[in-house]
Amino acid sequence: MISRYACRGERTRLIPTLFAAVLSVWTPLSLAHFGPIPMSLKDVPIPPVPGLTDGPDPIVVDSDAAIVLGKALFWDINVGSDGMACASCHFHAGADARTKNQIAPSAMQGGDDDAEFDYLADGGERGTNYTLTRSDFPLHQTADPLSPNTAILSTSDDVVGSAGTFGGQFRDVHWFGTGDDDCVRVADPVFHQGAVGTRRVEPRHTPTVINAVFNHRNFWDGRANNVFNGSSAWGERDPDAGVWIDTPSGLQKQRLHLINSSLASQAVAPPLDAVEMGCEGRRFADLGRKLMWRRPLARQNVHWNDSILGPYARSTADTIRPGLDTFYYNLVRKAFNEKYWSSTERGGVLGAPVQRGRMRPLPYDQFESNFAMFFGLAIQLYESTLVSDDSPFDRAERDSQGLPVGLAEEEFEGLQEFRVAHCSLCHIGPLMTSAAVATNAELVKDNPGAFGNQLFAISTSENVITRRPVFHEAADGTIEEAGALLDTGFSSTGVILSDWDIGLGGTDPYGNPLSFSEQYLQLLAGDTSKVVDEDVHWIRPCDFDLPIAVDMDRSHPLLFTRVDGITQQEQDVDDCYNVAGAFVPTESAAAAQLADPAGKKMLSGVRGAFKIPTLRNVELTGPYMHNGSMATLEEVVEFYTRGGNFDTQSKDFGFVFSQAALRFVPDKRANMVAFMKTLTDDRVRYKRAPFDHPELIVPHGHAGDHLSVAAGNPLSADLAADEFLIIPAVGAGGIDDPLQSFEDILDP
Amino acid sequence: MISVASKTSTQCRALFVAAACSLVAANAHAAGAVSIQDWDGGSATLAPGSSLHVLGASGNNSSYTDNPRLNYSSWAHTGAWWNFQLSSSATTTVSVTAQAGADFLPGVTIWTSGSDVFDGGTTGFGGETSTSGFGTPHSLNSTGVLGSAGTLWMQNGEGGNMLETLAYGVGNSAIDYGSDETGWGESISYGIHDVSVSDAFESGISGSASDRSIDIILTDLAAGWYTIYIGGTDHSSTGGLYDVEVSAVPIPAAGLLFVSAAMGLLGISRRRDANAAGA
Repeated sequence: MISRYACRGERTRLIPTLFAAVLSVWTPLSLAHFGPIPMSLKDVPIPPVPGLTDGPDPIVVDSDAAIVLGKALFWDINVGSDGMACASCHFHAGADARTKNQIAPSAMQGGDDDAEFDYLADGGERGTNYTLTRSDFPLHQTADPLSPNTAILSTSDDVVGSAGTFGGQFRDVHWFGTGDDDCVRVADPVFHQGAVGTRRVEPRHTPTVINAVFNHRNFWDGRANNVFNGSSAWGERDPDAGVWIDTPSGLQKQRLHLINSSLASQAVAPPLDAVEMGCEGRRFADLGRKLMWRRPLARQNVHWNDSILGPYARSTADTIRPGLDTFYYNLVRKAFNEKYWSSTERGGVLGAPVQRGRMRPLPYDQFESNFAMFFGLAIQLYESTLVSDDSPFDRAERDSQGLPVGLAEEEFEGLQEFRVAHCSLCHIGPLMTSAAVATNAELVKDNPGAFGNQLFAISTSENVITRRPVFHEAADGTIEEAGALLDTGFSSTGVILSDWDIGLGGTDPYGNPLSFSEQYLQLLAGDTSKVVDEDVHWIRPCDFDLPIAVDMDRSHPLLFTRVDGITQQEQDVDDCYNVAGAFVPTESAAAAQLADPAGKKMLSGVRGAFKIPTLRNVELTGPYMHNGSMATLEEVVEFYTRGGNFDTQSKDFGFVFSQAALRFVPDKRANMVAFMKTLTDDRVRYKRAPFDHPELIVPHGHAGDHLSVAAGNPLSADLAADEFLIIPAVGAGGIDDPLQSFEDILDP
Repeated sequence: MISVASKTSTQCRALFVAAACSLVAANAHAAGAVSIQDWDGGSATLAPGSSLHVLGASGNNSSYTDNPRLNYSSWAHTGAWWNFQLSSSATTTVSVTAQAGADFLPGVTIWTSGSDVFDGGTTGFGGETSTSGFGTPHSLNSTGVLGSAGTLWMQNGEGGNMLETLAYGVGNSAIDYGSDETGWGESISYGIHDVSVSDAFESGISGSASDRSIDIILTDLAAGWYTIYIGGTDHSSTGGLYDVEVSAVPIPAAGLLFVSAAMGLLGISRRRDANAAGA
């Protein structure tokens, strides 16, 4: 294996002189190896958010206070209507490792049987409040998990998701004390055992928040907009979004436009979601009213040595106590520019809660009305501290090519297999995902080898879309290849049929497509009114992996040419990935193709595509995939070895295909897993700062099992009694017993 | 030996070259577009009377042809590439055989880069894009003469230093793709095919193919560097393990006499040099 040693400077010296002549001939090619080299996360800057903490009139005037506020809000079970914190689904290496009542009976959109739980492979029921076991995984089971042509033994549109709330119709919050929200709660039509309601389960598995600050957009389907509007997840798409400013002439509503802030966009969605955290109809102003005079973490112990909350903790080294020695109201005032909270006005333009009884509710004030902004930005600033850049992979020295030196041999071989098997084409850059658009675009300038070489390069730029050959479902239902626009950082790998969950192919509440690709198709056809995200206007065609148009006299089945009508791109061609692709179709040619059901030049590959997840700490963030359908990294590697579960719409078949080398050489698979385990930061594994946290009380199924549950929840007699996972408060020094993998947590 | 195709004089006849030839490609000329594998034992030197082996290589199902997603063209990064240097002229056989029980039907092509080792070619050279939307050599034309569409990335004077496509073989009797079906307008069919356009490197191509195995015999193959590409030819298969052997026949007795004479001359020459050095 000359190539292996040739890549590792230290070992080259061990090779007998006899081979030196051979090496000199072979080295140039053997060294090339395949494609991008994953790089260290050390010293990688977080994407800037102009105007947040800098400039003449910043929104946040005390970042440290904002991070305290954000950490408290993130972990506080008082945020949810019935005891769910953000952390309740993000407590285990930033993800969710619960094993009871975690199944949603269908994927997000559609599913083969909508709201019916699937049966187990052995014929047993697997309904609400089920306890997952090792043998349930993977959800898609085949006779030979390594073979592309093998009998499917069982498959399922069920999702191993994350349990959330009981739901219910929101009525009111309690200003003081620690009580849950006043909601009208009844047994859910899907999540119930007999007449007893159980907690609902989110039909996608929770991804980790650690390193999520680098993602251009968040959520599996990217609906957490890169631009935070101060009110909702939808960026510029939300016509009603805005924040209230206290001016000399009174309160004025202004649009907010903070880029690189998808974490804030993400954070403001779950508290109002009736599956995840809130009762139906609750507003953020209600949540502001609920929390403002509460002690942060009033029901949870806080470690005296918490890396962020410690100075505010009521605990001492001798005595642990719940809560912080302050109120949310004070933290907001300390952290944020006073123009966002100083007004004493109530009602008027700010409105009032919905009247649900005879009592007329107190109108909202500015503090309450801007609470979504306080909440989103504080959590974003806290989550921006959750960067795990100290794994063995990060600590390793680099050789002249950028390859790590000093990893164990199987780890290093696994890295090379990871590249050869095409993994690093999507799991690219220091975050191991192309979803880190801005970060990767900046890094490629000085680290081109991290994004490809002569064997295989991936166009890496500020473009939020690219173009590649992917599967397309023709009008008659057959799957064929086509060139399609893809959102950068999103991919379909064939985990499930795309109809079970269309992911990025979905729309927002205003009817706009979630994807940039769909918007860009409309832009090409001349309809700028369909462009709702500004990033779409900056897309430069010559940075596509596969051009959409080229200057050629003959026609091409997938590309626009002179035959169709083309024009030069508007932008310059400086440093184009492919200058031959610096063309676009004329608007009329684009519109004609868009209207042609057989056309293959104006397609998007977004239906069934999901955000490419980071692989950092992946050892601890199972179960895997957007549907939580795989319990172990070995199952994930088997999935890619056989080339995915389904040939479905949008599947990136050039990157996900059956791989004989992985199939026939078990060491290659084992080495890849060994490599992925070098991406675990021990600070995450041992919950050391900044990954320490307050106590958390997580609903973890209900008393009973999947065949019967006990009623008697204090919230309502119609609801099942909760069981809880109690996760003790931990200080900056972390814990003694490391976090376990999902597989180790599962029952056999 | 000239056979199925004749060499074009126009480098731009490529049917689907997706850019004017004057356009500079995405990537400046730089070698190393494919990764060359090692033979068992490491050495790539082939002397007459010896052979090179790889036992138990892993073959994907349709990296050579039959993948409808690539319009049946080859897929460089999922197949396997080897080089060998023939030390002196000899009739040479390239054999590819699926191992017992393996669900693998091979295809193989042999090119020559003459006295220099293949530099690996250039990704995306000339902006060529196949009908299935792949650039080179992600998809490549592995059966056409150099200069035809899908070969510029490796051709001498273009993206690489390859001098001639010599031969290809397909070990799947179901394969018969015409130029109107494939990604680059190439033809791909079962059996052994002579693609060479000159007699500079061999004096004849023969051999045999069956489902699961291929033998290509290159008569009087000239000393120099050769490159072979191997992949599967049955998209419905699962792929499997296969063995590769490249063997050069021993130099015949008459040839040995000639070599002995030559060595004698060489020895004299060396002694003369030594004398000169000592003078």
